Amino acid sequence: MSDTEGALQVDDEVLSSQVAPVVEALLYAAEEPVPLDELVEVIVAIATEQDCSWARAATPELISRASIMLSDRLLDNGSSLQVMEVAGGLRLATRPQYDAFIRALRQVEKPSRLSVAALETLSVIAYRQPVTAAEIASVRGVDPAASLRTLRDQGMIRITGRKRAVGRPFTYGTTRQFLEIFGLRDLDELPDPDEFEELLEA
Amino acid sequence: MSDDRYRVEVGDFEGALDLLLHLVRTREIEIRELPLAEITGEYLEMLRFLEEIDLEPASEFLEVAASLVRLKAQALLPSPSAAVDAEALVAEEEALLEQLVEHQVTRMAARDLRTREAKIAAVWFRGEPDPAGVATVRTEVVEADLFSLVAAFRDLLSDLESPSLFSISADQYPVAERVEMLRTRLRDGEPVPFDELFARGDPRGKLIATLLALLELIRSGEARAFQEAVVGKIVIFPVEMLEQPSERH
Repeated sequence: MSDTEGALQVDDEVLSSQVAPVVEALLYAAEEPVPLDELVEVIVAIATEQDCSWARAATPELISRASIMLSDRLLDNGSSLQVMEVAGGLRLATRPQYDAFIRALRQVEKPSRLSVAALETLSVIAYRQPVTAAEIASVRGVDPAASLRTLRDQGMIRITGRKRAVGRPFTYGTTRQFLEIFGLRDLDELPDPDEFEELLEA
Repeated sequence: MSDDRYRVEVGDFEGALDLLLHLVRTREIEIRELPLAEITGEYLEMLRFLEEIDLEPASEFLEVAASLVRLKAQALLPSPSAAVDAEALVAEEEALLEQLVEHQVTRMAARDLRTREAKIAAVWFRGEPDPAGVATVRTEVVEADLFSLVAAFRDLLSDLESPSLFSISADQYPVAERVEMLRTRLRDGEPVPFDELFARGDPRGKLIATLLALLELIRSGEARAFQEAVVGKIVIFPVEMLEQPSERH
């Protein structure tokens, strides 16, 4: 974004009164996490069309600043909504303390969808992807076939390719839906396995 | 057996490493500090009990059992000179302990995922479809593993047992029937304490068939078992399958 220096400067006033509300409207209307790039693309197109003063300055950096501003403002105003970064995109969500009210309104619970066995298989895949069924079996000491089926049915994992080994076995990896369900920005947000090992020794 | 469809195997749930971990956890000591030979007796006893209640342990359970027995024999030998291959045995024990640590790490990673899932479940998004399943689960409880269920069942059996119950085989009580009974029992969506599933005075075979039926429901995802701590009370939660709401009636 070395262009930004030559581009128009946008002061906080404009950012707060004009750009942040656009981000808010888009996140409200979206039904899935919106990647920053997509936000920028839409905002640049329409802001240019409408001849907004800041249209040329609408870089990913600016939109990112606007979303942080929106997030801060929601918090400062005591709003029950928050901006979340999930699966490589931004999303508007309620804060956890309103969970009980929403559950009562929608009359549903949100329990876990996965058994312990499936969850263990999933964590092996998350940490070691791309990984084959045989490799998972050797870590868990149990045939993962049933877990793999469940995880694929639920869209948590996908086949990522085949391993260059005897029988050319499939390799598995996690999906974007996996990140969404576990509230992860990306795979790097998972804790380091060494941390668990230290916990064991503590 | 007439209802092969309901043949539950230990391997559907957990492996030999899980059984070792289960035994380590009930002792509350650190894995690497554990002389494996010490738990040989408990391990073999659990294998025997699994066979007795018709839960066939897979061959890998026997391989681990063989390792444990070798370690135990070595530990009982009076002098190191008598050891055939002491070093190989030490290496074998270390490899097993290392595998056990790695397995424990996987389980902790899985628990970390569960915590994240629960956190994200408390926030709601626009356009979010009705989620699947209905069981309400408090966060302080942990999911009961197979060996905790089997151990609880074993305690229960020794409580209920009388000689007259002993001889009747499980084959007289089709697991399919017990599965239906449990489904009915769990239908109203309320959690049921594990021990209340087993009626005092029921024949042993019927009790075993009930346990196998419960395992079948857990395997198919219709029920989940939770426990307050490693040795706490176990409660069974029904999981309504709401994934395809249109198919539900």
